[in-house]
Amino acid sequence: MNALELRGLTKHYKDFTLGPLDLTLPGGTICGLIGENGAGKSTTIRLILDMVQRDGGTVTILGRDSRTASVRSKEEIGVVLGSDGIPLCLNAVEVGKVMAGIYRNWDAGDYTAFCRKFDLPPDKKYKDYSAGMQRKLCIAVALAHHPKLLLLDEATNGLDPVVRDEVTDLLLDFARDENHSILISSHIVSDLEKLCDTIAFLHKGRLLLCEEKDALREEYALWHGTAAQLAELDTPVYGKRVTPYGAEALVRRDAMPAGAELAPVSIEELFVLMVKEECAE
Amino acid sequence: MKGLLLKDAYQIWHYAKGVIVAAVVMMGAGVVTIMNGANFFIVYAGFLMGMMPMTLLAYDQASKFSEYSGVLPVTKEQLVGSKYIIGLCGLVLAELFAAAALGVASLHWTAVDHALVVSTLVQVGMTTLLNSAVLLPLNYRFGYEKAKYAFYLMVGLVAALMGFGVSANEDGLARNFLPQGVPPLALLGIVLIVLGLYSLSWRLSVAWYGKAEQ
Repeated sequence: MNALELRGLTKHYKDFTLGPLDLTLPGGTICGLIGENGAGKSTTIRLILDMVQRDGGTVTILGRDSRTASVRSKEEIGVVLGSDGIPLCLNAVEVGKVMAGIYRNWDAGDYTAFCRKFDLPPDKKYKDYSAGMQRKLCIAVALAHHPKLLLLDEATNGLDPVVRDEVTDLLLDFARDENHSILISSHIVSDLEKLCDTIAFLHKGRLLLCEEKDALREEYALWHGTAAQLAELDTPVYGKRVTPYGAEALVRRDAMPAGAELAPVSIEELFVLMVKEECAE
Repeated sequence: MKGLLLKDAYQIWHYAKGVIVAAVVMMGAGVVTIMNGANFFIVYAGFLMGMMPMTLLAYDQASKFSEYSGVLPVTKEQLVGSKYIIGLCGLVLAELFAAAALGVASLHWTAVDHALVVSTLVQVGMTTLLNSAVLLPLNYRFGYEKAKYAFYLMVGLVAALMGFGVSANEDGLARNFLPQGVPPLALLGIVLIVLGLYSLSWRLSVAWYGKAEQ
């Protein structure tokens, strides 16, 4: 069963339109939603959660339409919306007690273990936590009620590299269960590159592509040459960068002539070059 | 629902216990000032207690809990209902404080007769519940920042009522929000109307829930 299906999801604002978005997240996989600031990542997650009214399309979460599903189905979804939402005056212990009264599946033991693992002071108020600590508490809350689907909006932003690595491991561990899936949005592409099976590029409200990470790396490559050689290149170019020292172009491996010198492309380079090309058009 | 009420209880403890202390102090002042029949301080303490749900909602909006609650397995009826339950708890507390203050006052002042005690308790209930009944739907519809102007307007109206009370009395003293000598049946009618308005307000708040965030 797919954990998440978006079909023609659309939202119009005065100066911004999101979609139509089509995206499928199979069970047991992690999808990274990559986009620059303002691309529509947070709006997409809020539309999925019905926190913002959509103008069109459908959202199916764990086999149920998000609008008709009972409120109890939210037990199966763990959400992190940046560091927002936790009452500022509460400490970690109080947050645990409040959530235990809200989630039927709340696991106080797991929550305490996550708080310990993240070195969260139990008696300190949430507002007195550092930005990183706040994110960690939000992640602990999202995980402590045994969700099947995690929706993480900029969950790793503000964390130092060591903690980011810890969180990445935690999420990888979570997704090891084939019934567990994650949709994570970020503009820190390196995090998602480590974590995700599938990558979706969102740019100005449109999905530029949505493919398996390994397939993207196999399909695309970086061609290096001079500006003159680039101008003569007889193959579709999906992004390019020209500097006084030379030129590079994002190309499909199968479209290049045999023997062409190609370098592997990272997801970050792929994203940056594609977005720049879109902007240039 | 249990978790939502617990969250609000924690928030009252951390942020709003000063309001409860202020209400108790006002009730104490009311014990003295009611000697000539003026119950303003006791009734105003009820008004303070009635601000509790609006205060909690403002904190929810500041911490973005209002938005985050959309991801929790709770209905909007529960989210809104928890604030109205807090309002009712405020009412019970205000009535208990008022009853204690009036009990002490009746031992000392002859002006504090049975009719004034009943009338004051009704007025405490009115101000406590009407405060939430008016302000909570506006909060859900427009958000705290805009709804607070309605709050200022309400404070102005209370002041105007007091002015009316002063001018209506021969000795120029503020006594009651309600005219003196209201029959018990009419007081009962007032109580029922206020409770009806409170439940109507709850329905309106449920209908308007989330509009401020859209």
